[in-house]
This record gives sequence, C-alpha cells and structure tokens, in this order.
Amino acid sequence: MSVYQDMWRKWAPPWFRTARNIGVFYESVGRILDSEAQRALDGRLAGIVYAGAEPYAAKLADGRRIECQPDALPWHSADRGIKLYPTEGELSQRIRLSQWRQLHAERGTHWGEIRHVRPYFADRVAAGYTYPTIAIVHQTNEATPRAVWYQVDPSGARTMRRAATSNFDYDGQPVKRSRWWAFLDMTGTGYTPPETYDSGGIYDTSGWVYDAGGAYPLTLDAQADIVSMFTDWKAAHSWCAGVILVWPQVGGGAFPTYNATPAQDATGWWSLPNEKWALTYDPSSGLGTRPPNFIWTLDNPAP
Amino acid sequence: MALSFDAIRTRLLWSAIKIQLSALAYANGLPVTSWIPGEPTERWLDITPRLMAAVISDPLTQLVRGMFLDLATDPGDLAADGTPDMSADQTPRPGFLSALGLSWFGTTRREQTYAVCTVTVRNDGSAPTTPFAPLDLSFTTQAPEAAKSDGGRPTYRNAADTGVYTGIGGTLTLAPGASATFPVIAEQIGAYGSASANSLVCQTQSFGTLTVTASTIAVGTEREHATLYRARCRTTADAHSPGGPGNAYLRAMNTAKDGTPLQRYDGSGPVGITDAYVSPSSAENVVTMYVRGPGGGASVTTADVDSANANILGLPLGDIVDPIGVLPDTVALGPDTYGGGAAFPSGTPSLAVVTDDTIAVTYSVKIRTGATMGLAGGTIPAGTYTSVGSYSAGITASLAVITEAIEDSLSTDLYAAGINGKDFNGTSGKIYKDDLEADVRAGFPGLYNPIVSSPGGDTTILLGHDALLGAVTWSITVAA
Repeated sequence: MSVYQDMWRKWAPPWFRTARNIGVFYESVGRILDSEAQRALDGRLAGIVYAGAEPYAAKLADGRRIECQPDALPWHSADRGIKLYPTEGELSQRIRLSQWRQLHAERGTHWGEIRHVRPYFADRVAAGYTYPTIAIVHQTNEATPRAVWYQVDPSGARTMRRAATSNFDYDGQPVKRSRWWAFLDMTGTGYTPPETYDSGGIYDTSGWVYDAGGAYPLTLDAQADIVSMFTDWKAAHSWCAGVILVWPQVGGGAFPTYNATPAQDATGWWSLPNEKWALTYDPSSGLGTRPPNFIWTLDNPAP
Repeated sequence: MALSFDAIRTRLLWSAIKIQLSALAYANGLPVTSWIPGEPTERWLDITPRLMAAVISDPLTQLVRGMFLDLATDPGDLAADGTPDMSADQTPRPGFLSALGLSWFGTTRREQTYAVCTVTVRNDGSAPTTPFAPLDLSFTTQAPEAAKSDGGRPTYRNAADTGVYTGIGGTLTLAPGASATFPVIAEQIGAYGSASANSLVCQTQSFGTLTVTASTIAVGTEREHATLYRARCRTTADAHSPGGPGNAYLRAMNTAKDGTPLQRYDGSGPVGITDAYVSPSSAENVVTMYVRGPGGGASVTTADVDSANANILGLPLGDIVDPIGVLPDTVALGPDTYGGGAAFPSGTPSLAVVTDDTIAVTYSVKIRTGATMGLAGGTIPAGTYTSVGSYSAGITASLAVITEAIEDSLSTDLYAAGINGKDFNGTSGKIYKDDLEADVRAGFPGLYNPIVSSPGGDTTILLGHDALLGAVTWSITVAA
C-alpha cells in the first residue's frame, strides 16, 4: 500500500514537488501514514472472526478474507468464552467463535455438547471428508429404564429417540441418571485409528489396530481435545461417563443407535453394553466385553 | 502484509513515530541528523509525529482496543495487558469498557454512587422553624453506627424534592411538633456514605430544633473493579442456556437478569459475592456451590446468600422481584438447605459459604544490604531481624516495607489458589509449601533463600474451604 506516499506528489504545488528535501520528508511521512492506514484496516479486520465458507466468503478487493489474523483469535476466545484447543484447526476455531451465542445458548444440553464438538472436523470436511455421526445416550430412571438417544448425522440432521425399553444399560445403575456417553462414528472423517495396544482389555489377541496410525491419525492429543470439547460444554449437574470412538472395521461392532438390540459376538463382546461395558472383560468368561473397534477415549465411571 | 495483532493493539507513541520518520528520511538521503535543534525543519520533524499520534495513531489504537474486553478500559482503569486508559481525563466514569460490556454482553458496570436515603425530621422547638431549602441541612451518623475506617463520619445534605419544598422560594417550614420526610444525599461519593437505618442525626440547628426520628438505610457503592466486571461480562452468554452450565450459576450469584449487579433483597447494597466453586459433574443431578467475597467466606453476608439463592433458584425475594432462575428442572442445588425462620421456608435448597482456613506462616529469608537501599527508613545494616525484635525507627520502617510486601504476596497467592485450593481432587486440594516459599521470595526484589518453617508441609484444603493468610512470623537476615 503506497497511497499517502504517492498522493502528496499529486497534490503538492510544483515548487513543493521539486524541492528535494521537503519531498523526501513528506514521502517519509506518507509512508508512515500508509502503515497507519494498514493498521486501521487490520484493526477493523481484527474484530471479525470468520469471513464465511468458500466460495462465498467475504473478501476485500485484493482477495483477502475479511476476518482477523489467527493471532487475534485467542482474544476473541477470551471474550466469547470459546476455548481454543491445541489440535483444533483454524477453521473450526473460527466457526465456533462465530457461533458463540448459539453454542452458549445450548451449553449444558446434549445438542449443545454435540454442536460444540462437531466443528472440530470442519477442517477435514473442507479437505473433502465428512463430519462424523455423533450420538449421545443417557438412561432414565423409570420403572422400566429407557434410553434417550440424541444423534446428529454427517449432514447435520438431528434426531432424538427414546427407546421404549432401554437398549443401553451400561452397568445396571439407572439411578445414576445424569450420566451420559458420547459416540463418534469415525467413518469417512479421513482420520485413521490411533495407535492402540491391541483390542483394549486383552493383551495381544487380534492385533488389528496395533501400531496403526496412517497418514492422518487421530492422535492422543486430538482425542484429548475432543473429550475436552464435550466435557467443557456439559451441564454442571451431569456426568460425562464416556467418549467412544467407533472406527469402521470388518467384524467389529456397528455404530450404536436407538433401535439396535444388544447382541453378543461369538468372541464375547457386546454390541451394546447390556450391563457389561463397565468392565473391559467379563469375569465369568474372561472374554472382552467391548467391541474391538470401539475406543474409549474417555472412560469416566461415576462414583 | 497483515500486521500482527500485537502491533495493532499496541499504542504507537509519537516518539516511536519520530524515530520511524527520521529513519525513513535518513535512508532516503535527508540529513536529519545534521539539522540544528530548534530550526524550522527540525521542528517539523518533531511536530509531525506528535500530530500523527494525536489524530491518527492514538484514536486508532483506542478503537481497536475498545473491541476486546481485556483491552478496553474506562477512564481510571488499567487494561489486562497493563496499558492505562488513554483518555485525556482520567476521572473514573463509563468509557469504552462499560460501553462494550453493556452493548455486547448486556452487563452493566457498577459505578461509584452517592448514598441516598430519606430522613424524617421533627421540629422539637416551640416555634416554627425558619424556612429551609434543599442543601440547607447537614446530617451525619451517630453511635451506635460505627465511624468509618479513617475515624470520620459521612455527611449528608437534604436533597431537592418538589413535593416537599412547597413553600415560598422552594422552602419548607415545620410547625412546632410537625414532621416531614425528605431525601438526603451523601456529600462523599462511594461506600463511605453508606449508613444503617435510623443512624442519622441533624447537625444543622440554626433553622430550629430539628430531630431525626427515622432514617432509611443509605447505600453508596464503589466502582466495580474492571477485572471483576470483565468476569461478569463473560458469564453472560451461558446465563441464557436452559441446560445448566456452570457459568449460569456464576452469573446468577451476583448479576441480575438485566445485567446490572445483583442488589441484596433487603436493599442494603450490591451482593458481595465475587467468586464461587460450582461442582463440575454429578451422576444424580446435584449441583454443589460454595461462594466467597474478596475477603473470603467471612465477607459474605446472610443477605448475600439469600439474594444469590433467590436469583439462582428463581424465587422472588424482597427487592429481587424478577430473578433469573438458572436451575434446570430435576436438578438439586446444594450443599445446604434452609432451616426455619430464614429468608426462605425450611428445606429450600441453598448454596454454602466457603469456610476460611487461616494459615499461619513462619518464614525466614535473606537479602543483601545493598538491596535495601532507598527504603523508607534507610538502608538496613547487616544482621538478623525478627518479627518480635525491637529496632530503631528507621530500621523498623524499612523492615515494614519488606515484610508487608511479602505478606501481600502471600495473601494474594493464597486467595488466588481458589476455593478448594490447588489440584482439587473432588475431596480436597492443596496449598503447597513450595509455593509459599516462592511467594516470600517474590514479595520484594532481592530476597533469596526463603524457608517456610510453618506450615511444616503442604496444607490440605477440604471441599468448600479456602485458604487465607493468618499470623505471620518472620526472620530476615540482611547480608553485607
């Protein structure tokens, strides 16, 4: 930008333009004015967190997106109560900051928890992948306990179903009714399973995810951030008992839903908890209880 | 190329602009370093940066800073990054911070106010009073109302009231034995003017024998600290969630539905709760909450607790006619319940006030005598000094500077450890002895080798407790 630097020459009287010293002086003044003009523009942009999704993003004439630089995002984060997570992509940060009022309005609800986590995957979606299906389930403490399933599909569609007879009984303690579990279907998200030591509870059986990682692994740090995004957005009166990543796997368990029925695999694990998932193995049989493609990235039993 | 945010938010002083301008001019061949000071060209080099700073850089910096809570200030404030407010007039009053907080976060900053109340005055003389007008009468407090911390008492003047002063020239005349009730306003701004009900006495007796037979409570407030105000602003968004996030409880404990500071239900001033612990998780729909004020649990009154409960539970109480009510259905607030005879019926859920655990600290620390130069009482000679020792006035004064600074450091850090202490595990937290030693060292420049002998180890802080500084015993060795 060299507007002021050049402008003086255009407007100054001829005797002024040809005076070398004063010319240099005002050209120098013009350069500082130009830098202040740049500061004014950047300062205005600093107040805007998100220009929108491509190709319809708001842009200046020179193509620059009308939004702040990334180093201003922490300041918006502090003001809007939207924590930024270390492994979170910039796009996710901007989306959540721009939706801070809606996010806060739903904070403490299961929809709010899902809505808070979902943008984490936006950067991968922009690269051609899909959002995960995210479900949260909690159990009621009725005479015949029921399970209530909240689900947001990759398209963003929401469903809430209440299974007439609970298909989700984690450990036979329905009185702990404000516990909830979150499931993420990682199919199509572009992430590869993290490195885990075998199938969970049993040492060196199938080995199917051992030493996996791939080109775009969901690292332990990333998992920790996803867990935090759930728990940071929960109600004070509820208990996040688990965050479970479901990876596509032949021979593994299907993503749990409201209308599935608990069934035991021949190798011992259950497709839904059926009071078994609290322990990673069944003491009576010695077999694992959890589907091998389900990874408890948070296993947080309530006292 | 875009500037960094640090470059945008930082004030560009005229002197920095002058340096830039000189460097640019010099680089382009202008002999700026050989000008004669005071000559017109040199003056231009000085005047121009001042103009640019005044009309461009400073307003621009203020505009940018005004968009962020941590950077915006009202006159008299410091920003979170330590930058003073940039207004020419620093008289405390609403500025960018208050405007931002109100317009973006719907939260009103508590300003410094004059205490007002009404008094009922009776003419105890045998003749009518001389007509008196607003501001003619002076009032003050009397025992058993306590004097203020400086030993003085606030004074008040009768304020204008067209319904009272209806006589000729806007005056009031009281017949013998007659009474009138009218407003008075404190002459000193802030909490200094606060007074209990029925504590005022009329000082002006030149219009007649005037006796105050009743006075209402007078409440003057101090301006809310910018840090506390920013914290309240940040709880705004969650107050509108029906889902019961922790911040909603924090919001309701000291902020009314309209964003103004929550006033006590009995009209005795703003609620003094500034900090709280809200239990983060429950498997059975229970939220436990402990609150405290700037001085710990001891600075929270019963009226504070009743008012916070009213606003959290959604139960109108006294002056709180439109409480927020942030407690979701099926959720229980704890850990307390009301007994009989309190503001609410027996069994009403209630938060609890923090229990203050005072920690007595005994420490020793060293400092070189050179580091004590310039203290109030002069340099401290080499030697060992203790809190029970007796020294010359000068040494005592210099030691006081150091020990008081250390006490400030200790008490500030203990309070900052928060409710439940550090590393709270759901049952208890800790105050680490190592941290206390670090506080001693940080209290004054040049201190070294801090040793805390009491407490002897880490201190356990139970759920619902906080740590405040108790008695301090010290030993300072001044090395040559």
